[in-house]
Amino acid sequence: MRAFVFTDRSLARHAGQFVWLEIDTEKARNAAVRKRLKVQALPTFFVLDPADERVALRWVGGATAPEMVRLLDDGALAVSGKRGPSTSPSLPDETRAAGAMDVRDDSAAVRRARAAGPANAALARADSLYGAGDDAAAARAYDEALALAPEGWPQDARAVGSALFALASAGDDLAAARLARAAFPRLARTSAAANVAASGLDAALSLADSLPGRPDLVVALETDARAVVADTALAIAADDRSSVYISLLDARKDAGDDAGARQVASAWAAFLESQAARAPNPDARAVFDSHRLSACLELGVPERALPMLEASERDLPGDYNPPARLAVALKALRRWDEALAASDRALAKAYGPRQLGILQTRSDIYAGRGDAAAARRTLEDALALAESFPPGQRSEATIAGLKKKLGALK
Amino acid sequence: MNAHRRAPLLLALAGVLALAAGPVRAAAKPVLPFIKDDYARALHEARARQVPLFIGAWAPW
Repeated sequence: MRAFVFTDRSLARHAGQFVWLEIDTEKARNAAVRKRLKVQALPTFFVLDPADERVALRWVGGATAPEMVRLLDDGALAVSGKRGPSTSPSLPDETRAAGAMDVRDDSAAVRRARAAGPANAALARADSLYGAGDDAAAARAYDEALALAPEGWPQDARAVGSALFALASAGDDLAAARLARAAFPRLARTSAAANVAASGLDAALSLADSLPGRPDLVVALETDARAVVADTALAIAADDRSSVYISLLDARKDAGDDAGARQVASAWAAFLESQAARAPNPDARAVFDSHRLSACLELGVPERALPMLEASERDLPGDYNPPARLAVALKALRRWDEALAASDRALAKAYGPRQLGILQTRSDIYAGRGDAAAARRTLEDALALAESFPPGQRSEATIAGLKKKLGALK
Repeated sequence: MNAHRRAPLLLALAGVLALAAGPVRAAAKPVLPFIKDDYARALHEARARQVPLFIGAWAPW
């Protein structure tokens, strides 16, 4: 997002309409606001009413520049109260652009706005619940909005995207998979297609194997996901397309299809290499480092990741990610001393909860070279660090995971 | 949720699983005048100007 969307000139016209804040959730100074906003995943975007700090709009995940423009418009309307059940219905873009709606106007745009009134009112309720972090109730309200929506509803993609995350957060994977399956045909040619297909397939794969409808949902959603990666003309972000490959990889693994998984991983790696080669600068190229490393690990060729990670470490000397990823790749190659050296360089620059992942890799490196005592000490350090984080950064799930891993070493 | 998906990445997993792959990371020159890591200042400005406050929550992964 920061590399490709917030550099898009089309957003510049909105500069004066908001005050813009970015918070690095790894920093302790942002722990309180992270807790107050109930940040569950990254990236997440919020529009707040400054009068009472109410979250008027929340969006989890990436967005293209046109999608971000719509989010900004919707967020501004939600704060100003110009939508929802007690006011005029939310207007389609062409009507908004023309100014206030003339109630006597019988144009096609206004007829569509009137038809969308109940759906928009339900959407306003859903957004309010979603902003407050009540994902289960928000999911029900989004479902209501989608049921009321007229054909071609401009808010369709955003409502589906938010509903999918709300359902996943609420633990209702079956409803998420079914929603994705129902929504994909009408969103297949839009920038939302990748998120719908990948979220739906992930949800279906999370279902219990014993669930009777699981196989059909997985097959249908895998077909949708394959359609997304096959449609090279589809205007979606490269990293969103990459995420669809990850879901497809998981689907082949779930099916026990090693050859199919390798085929997907090869296609994924080729796609990432082509995107990285086109990147205009080191920052934009490094966006792909994490997925490129994952693809190399999947293919069993971690050595292929070394040159690009070394280049990123050279080009971005203040960034802990390249040496942290080098430690992962070198660990996979069993080059223990070099892996520890990379880990040292990463830890010297890292801060916040991300240090825990680096320490866990470091513990694995020690264990790999047969130093069980050092592996244990490193995990104990990680546990102490995890327990020291303030509310908002402290994760009980992470602490439990570290304790479990430490217990396995003893 | 896939552990090495780019976005969104659940924070419960982030400290443990996201080293190999994580969300999109930082870049330069945004076209919007972002205030960095200062909620109180941003809220004060939004109240003074009577405009909504946009917040992007991210991490340099």
